[in-house]
Amino acid sequence: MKFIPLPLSYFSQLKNPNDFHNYVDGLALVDDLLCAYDREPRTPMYLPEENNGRAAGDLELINERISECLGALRSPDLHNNLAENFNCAKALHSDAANSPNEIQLFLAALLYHYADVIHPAIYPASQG
Amino acid sequence: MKTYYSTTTFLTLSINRHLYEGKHYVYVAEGFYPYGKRNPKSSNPLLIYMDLYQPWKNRDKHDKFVLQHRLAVRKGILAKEKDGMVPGRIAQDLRRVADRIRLEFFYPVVYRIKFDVSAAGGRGGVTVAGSGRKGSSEFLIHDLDESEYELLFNDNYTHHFDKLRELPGYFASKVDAVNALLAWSS
Repeated sequence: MKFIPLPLSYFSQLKNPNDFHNYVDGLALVDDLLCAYDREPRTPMYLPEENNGRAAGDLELINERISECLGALRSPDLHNNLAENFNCAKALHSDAANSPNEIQLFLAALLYHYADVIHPAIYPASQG
Repeated sequence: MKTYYSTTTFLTLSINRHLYEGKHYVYVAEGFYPYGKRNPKSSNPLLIYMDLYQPWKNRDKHDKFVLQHRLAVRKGILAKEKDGMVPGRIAQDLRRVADRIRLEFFYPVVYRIKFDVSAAGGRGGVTVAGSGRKGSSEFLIHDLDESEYELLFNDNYTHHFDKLRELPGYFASKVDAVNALLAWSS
């Protein structure tokens, strides 16, 4: 159950700012779902005020927001990649007790993908 | 009444003050170094301070902790957009800030908060959260007001921060505030 990187040939579709932000927001939410099980456990952060008693890290809470991100993505390739990764994340989340190593590898690949692959491709200029 | 601490970055402090109407969403721990309280690294203000300070000092923009903080800022934006705290256009600009703002803004700052968590007469809006559910001393405050905390280690006097050092209400509008952040997010 590994994180599925976005093939290089799909990167041009990230040039659409709306698609880029919805795709990366989706990755951030996937990270939020699993971050409590990371090698150095982190605290989930996505918690809208109107959450009907649900806590940050709640699967359904994140599911609702990711569905909105998926619905807003115009590129079918970005849509499919995010949907596949979310399905992987849900499977890991449901079996978190038995999947600590897989979760850590999944999150490490997600962060690498965001930071070292997507981010420089979209924002090529260096920052100080 | 006990004393709690929370470490964040000047970036998050600025967004809370100027874009989220001075309401701070903070995870707090009892003690700056809650040694022996079963707090994991993510709810240990001293260790978070070190994880932020070192890449800031080394100017390491590829540091894992900094990159995770960028994603965490995005999660906050998602929540605040959902709540109606920030309109879509400003949320979109804030996403660019989360991705692109200079490393200087990841300088760590610390909130010091005193409150009582007892059911009777305690501060409302405080919930046991995160590792607190497993026995550590971690709490979540959704709406910490400007008057409820003391800011520690806010001692980076870089010109980048400029007007963002001011208290909530300084900027005439959220557009002005986000523009002040965008100026360092090219």
